Amino acid sequence: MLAPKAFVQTIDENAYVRARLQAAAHTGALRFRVPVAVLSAALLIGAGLCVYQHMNSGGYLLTAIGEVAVAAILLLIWFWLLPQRERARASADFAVYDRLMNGGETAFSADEFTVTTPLLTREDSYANIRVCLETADSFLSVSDDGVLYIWQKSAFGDEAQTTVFLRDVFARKYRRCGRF
Amino acid sequence: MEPIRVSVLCTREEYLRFCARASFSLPQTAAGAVLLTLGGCGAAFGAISETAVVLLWMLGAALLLWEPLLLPFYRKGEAARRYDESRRLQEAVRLTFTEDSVTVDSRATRGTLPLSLVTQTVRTNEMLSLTFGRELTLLLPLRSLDDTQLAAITAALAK
Repeated sequence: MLAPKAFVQTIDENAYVRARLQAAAHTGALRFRVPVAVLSAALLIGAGLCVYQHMNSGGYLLTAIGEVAVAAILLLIWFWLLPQRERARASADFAVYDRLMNGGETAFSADEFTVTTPLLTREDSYANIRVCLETADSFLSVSDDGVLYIWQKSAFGDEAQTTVFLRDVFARKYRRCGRF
Repeated sequence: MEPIRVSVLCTREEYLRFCARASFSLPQTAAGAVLLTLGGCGAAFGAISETAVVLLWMLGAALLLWEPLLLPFYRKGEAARRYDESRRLQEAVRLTFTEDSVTVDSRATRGTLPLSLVTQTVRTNEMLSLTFGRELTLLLPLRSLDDTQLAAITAALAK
């Protein structure tokens, strides 16, 4: 398959933060949210059953309130506090992204790609990409050393051809593809 | 400041030791201590069942010990996998530090980055790490620098 044309893109803060959250949900700090929530629920039910005797002796309300409070705290941590922390980090990192990567030209070739910006030139092989996620408006690639590449579909010179090329590279050739 | 030129390659052992360094989280430690105290109070006053006391103590101890004792083992395993898989970590990088920038020259990355864009600096006994957001992390084994060079780089980073 022929490599698509190089393209230049500029990403705003909202798109960057959204991409960081999506990447974190797949490969970063937020990927264990659902399993941990399920495990916590199981532990709480187990704890409730363990204090069953105590509940029978009149401590039902206390136990119920305690369990609901712990569940609420855990839900707050996993579904609000951690995403908020990731969002704050992403906002802080955007200044660096803006200086280093924004306005850069991305050129895809058969087995690697190059990102050239005024300050930095990066060459990466598709084999170094741990996972590539396709969202409605972009491709998010996370490399082995944690670098996040955001490729907005609207910036592609030929959107259909580039999309097909990236799907082909990551889904068929390297089998490292995810979808939101 | 005279430009400082170094060629660095972080070995696998250095990388593992750096990633597995012990860390400390105040909220987690506080939560662990609260649970242990609650369990202790419950046991002392007989307010909750013995099983609940044991559960509180186990959860509290896990929270207290997770970061300083257990997490380093997990991080070490993850770092070993990452180092073995990532060719970039196994390549030498030439770095040139000036008063306000660092020039990076490796097979995969080339450029001159202002030191003002460093978002995190971590220094251990044998490593200095400079992080530029999510875009680049430079690992600089201290064995490749003499004391004067290290002092100059530290001063440039502090500006």
